[in-house]
Amino acid sequence: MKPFHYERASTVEEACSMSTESEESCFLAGGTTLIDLLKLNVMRPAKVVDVRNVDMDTVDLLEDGGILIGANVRNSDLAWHQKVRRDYQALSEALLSGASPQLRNMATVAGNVMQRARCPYFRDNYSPCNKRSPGSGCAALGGYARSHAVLGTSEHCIATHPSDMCVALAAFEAKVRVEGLAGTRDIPFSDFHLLPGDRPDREHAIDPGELITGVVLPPNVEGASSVYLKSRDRASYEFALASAAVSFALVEGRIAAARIALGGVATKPWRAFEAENCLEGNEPSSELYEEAAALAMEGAITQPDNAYKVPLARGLIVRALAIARERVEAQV
Amino acid sequence: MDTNIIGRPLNRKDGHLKVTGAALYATDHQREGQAYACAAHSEIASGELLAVDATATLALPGVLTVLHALDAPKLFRCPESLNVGERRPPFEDNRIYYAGQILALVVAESFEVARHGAQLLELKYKEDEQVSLDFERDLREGKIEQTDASSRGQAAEAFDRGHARIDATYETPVGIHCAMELHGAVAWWEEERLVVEDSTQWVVGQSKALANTFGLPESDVEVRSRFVGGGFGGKLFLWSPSILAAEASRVVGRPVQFSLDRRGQFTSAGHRPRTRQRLRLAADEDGHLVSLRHEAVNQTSQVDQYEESCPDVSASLYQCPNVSISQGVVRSHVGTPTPMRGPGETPGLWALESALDELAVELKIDPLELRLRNVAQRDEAKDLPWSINLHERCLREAAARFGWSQRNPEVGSMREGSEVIGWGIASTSWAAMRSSATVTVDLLQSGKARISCATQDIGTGTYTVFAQMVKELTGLPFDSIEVRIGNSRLPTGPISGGSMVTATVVPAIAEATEKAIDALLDLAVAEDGPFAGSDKKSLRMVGGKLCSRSGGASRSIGEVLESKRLSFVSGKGEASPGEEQERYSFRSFGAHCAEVRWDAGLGRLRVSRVTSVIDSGRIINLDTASNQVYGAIVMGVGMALLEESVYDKRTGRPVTDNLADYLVPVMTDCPEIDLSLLNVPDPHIGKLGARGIGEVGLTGVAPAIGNAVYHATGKRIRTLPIRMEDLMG
Ligand SMILES: Cc1cc2nc3c(=O)[nH]c(=O)nc-3n(C[C@H](O)[C@H](O)[C@H](O)COP(=O)(O)OP(=O)(O)OC[C@H]3O[C@@H](n4cnc5c(N)ncnc54)[C@H](O)[C@@H]3O)c2cc1C
Repeated sequence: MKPFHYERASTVEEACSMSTESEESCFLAGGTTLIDLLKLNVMRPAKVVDVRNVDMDTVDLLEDGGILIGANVRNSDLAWHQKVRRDYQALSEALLSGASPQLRNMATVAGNVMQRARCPYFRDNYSPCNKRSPGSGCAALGGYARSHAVLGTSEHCIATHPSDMCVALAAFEAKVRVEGLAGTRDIPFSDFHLLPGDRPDREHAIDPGELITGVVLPPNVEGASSVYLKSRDRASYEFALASAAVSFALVEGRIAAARIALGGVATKPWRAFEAENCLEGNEPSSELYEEAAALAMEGAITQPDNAYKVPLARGLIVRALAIARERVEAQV
Repeated sequence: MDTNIIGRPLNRKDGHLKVTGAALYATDHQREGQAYACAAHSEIASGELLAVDATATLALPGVLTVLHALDAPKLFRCPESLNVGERRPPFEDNRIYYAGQILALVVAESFEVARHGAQLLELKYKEDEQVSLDFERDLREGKIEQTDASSRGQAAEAFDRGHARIDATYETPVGIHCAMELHGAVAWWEEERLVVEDSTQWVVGQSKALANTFGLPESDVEVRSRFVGGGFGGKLFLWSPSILAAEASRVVGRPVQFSLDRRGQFTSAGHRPRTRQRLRLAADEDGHLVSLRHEAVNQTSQVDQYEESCPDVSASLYQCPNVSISQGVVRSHVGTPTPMRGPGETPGLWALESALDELAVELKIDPLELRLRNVAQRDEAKDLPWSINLHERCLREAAARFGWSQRNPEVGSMREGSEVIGWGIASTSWAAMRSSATVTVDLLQSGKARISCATQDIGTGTYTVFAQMVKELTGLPFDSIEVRIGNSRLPTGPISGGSMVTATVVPAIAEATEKAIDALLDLAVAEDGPFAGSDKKSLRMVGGKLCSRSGGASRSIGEVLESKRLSFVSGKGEASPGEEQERYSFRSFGAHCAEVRWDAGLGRLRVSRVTSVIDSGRIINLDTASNQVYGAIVMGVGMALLEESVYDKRTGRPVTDNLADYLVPVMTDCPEIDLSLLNVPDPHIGKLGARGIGEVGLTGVAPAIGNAVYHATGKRIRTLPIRMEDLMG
């Protein structure tokens, strides 16, 4: 671990200006990603700005019926929040499927949105990795890639975006609120995380010195139900090998406001827009689910070790849609 | 001996210390002036270290020194007769034999500075073109060194004549012990004497090995290991952390703490090696085995020839006239393997018990029935009668408790909702061994007892079992019995390995305690003793006091000793395997039944239920014994479905080298476990008839699960771990 300067901010402005003072600075929230990567020498900031004292740890109800989740809200608090459990069930389920109780008690919403790749070649600090040292290559290609992405990959990077929470946020069309010295802006979730392309080191649409202060969730679609399903080798405490967050409502027996987002299979929290379109306005049936699932995984590029992710994700989507339907029907 | 205490579940003597954090493990120890070391590991798997540039490291405030292969005092090797982790001491030469090999050590005022210093070191290598990392290729190219072979009868001919035949190849991956506590030590020198707070399964061996490494007389090395945070075989023998802590301490003249980090555990402290095993079985119409061939190969390192003796168990577990077994090794650019819980037999039974299941399917005989028909009446490999063999009873009882008779043999026939259920059975077994031990028991003026032996408690309950034995024989309260173990200077005791401690030590404790009581009796009946003039035989010890068998006043240990102004009396017990070893074969047997559930849509495979019935002789403490088997079953779940240390084929570096990527079972993976320990004393193994229980619980778990997976899915997976992708599509 490289020694760094440590500062503690108590307001958003302070955090932003402290971080702008140094080019290589980063924020510290729960520390469950950052401290690990500092110790492994993968992240080497010159300055760490602790934002845990910045007042952004509440979940506020918005006038339109949505919610504003403060950046410092702990994953476990969010998961057990009443409104979240009722209206955004997939989000609660996604959070509770992630990591372990101890980690969820530390991890924050902003930290989770910003968590880094779990690719072993990124973390080992010596393999070629375009994310860690741009231009050095990608050791995962041709290496051990069982947990790697099959969607949104490039020839420069196939690292999976590891978050569960973000998959649900993508499905609920969240916006990430960021504040900088220049002002505040809301970034639509699907624009927030960047595809690796030829610059896998650039992961987010956030500018240096900008702080995430919250995540805005639009109101839940009337009558919709959601579900999050996650597949992994062991029963708990493992990142997703594939996961799906789905949500829809039934209007006169037909699917409305269909949302499908995928985790564990893509380089960013992945919205399956075409699959959603395929569902929209149709009567639910297992054939339809299969068709949507196939569309969602179309164009997947697999490696020898991760080809199984395509059928796996399809199966999850189908099952998640079936469960969502049961939940929708149970509402009435 | 009336057994009031033996066999009872009793809380651990060290339990309170452990749950309150008061138990100090090796690197918890803080010595005055202590310095800290951190290692730099090789990033390449084969080549030479050409140069170490330590300029930046040495410029860091707080760095004391840098030791490395190009500039380090030479250390000695240990003789072949003494088992060590890796024969080659660290820094012996500048060759690189595997990725992760320790090439340099930075010693500093704090751990943080040492680690930063290690990260700043610049190591220059020359990488070899010739790297052997590809086990499959090595096997194809026949780079196998045969190490062992034996046979009886005519296995090849009998195979050809067999009614039903199986010829299949099974594989097991590199497994990592994953003890919670890392390999680490705090070492310091007192004049010429070396003291190490260590984490080891063998304080005696560790001190011998360190004495050899540093060229010291054995009496000048003291290894302490009061608590061990898990070993599973990984801490049986000397590994580099203890050596390097001692070496660094010698160089800087201060106590030094050094520990591997978690990643280092995956390269530099042993592992269960990768194996490939070919099984050929043949049976007659009735399902009697007529031929069994088990040929195994395991990967070993460039520097050591470690044999994972997989087929040994196959030669004696079942009855079969024509058997041939062989073992070979392939050298590779990996770290040196070492025993891991149930070495040899654990991967060996994966192959044998899976193959038997395949044979049962072929013969259309129930797999339980097939095993029952082949139970070994004597040990045909050693040509000796069994001391006792309750294999058949274990199989029948396990099946009955599990509800085996309800099993529909048809593949995929048992379903519940979206899950398909499979039931599998396998035998489990472990050779019951004994070694030698010396124990002293002192009865003290304070009315307490003290028992001393240079063995150690690796979390298995040795403290408790020792105290229980003394309590049983003296009637002293549990709290009045001090157990002194975990120090190499105590009377020589056994290694905590091979499930030997209990079987080895129990007879010695009995003897030592009886002798101590006898010495006390001598004092009691002597002139001016409290029972002067009485016959020794008329006295006995009850509740920690001496009294006459016919009643009357009793006298405490203190009172008896006071009469002679003595502080204590001692008894010494020595036990070692005797001629019973030539007359009988000793083995523990058992059976596991497993239930798995596979949900194809979710890619979810889970073990929901395991029933185990095990005979390991007399049970001394039901809690600590059961605890061993519960843990073993969970470990077996990991072996069957999760655990694999993956190496990058191009570089030879471990890829899954942390506990987030190398998966061990978590609580939610633990099946419902129904365990029965038969608790039948072994008639010949020594006083009380206790055999060990550390490994027998594990050896057959993985095949029971694999066989259940077949029953659920119709897929015969012969390579561990069994993953969702193996079952999909
Ligand atoms: C063993 C293990 C298992 C895990 N398993 C899972 C899992 O199954 N599923 C899952 O989804 N996740 C999992 N995680 C990841 C975990 O969810 C994240 O580590 C956590 O959410 C990060 O939050 P944090 O508050 O600790 O972030 P930190 O570590 O404090 O920060 C993470 C990153 O976010 C940046 N950051 C923090 N706050 C802000 C802010 N306000 N504005 C801008 N940038 C900010 C930091 O600079 C840093 O780069 C696991 C982690 C571990 C260690």
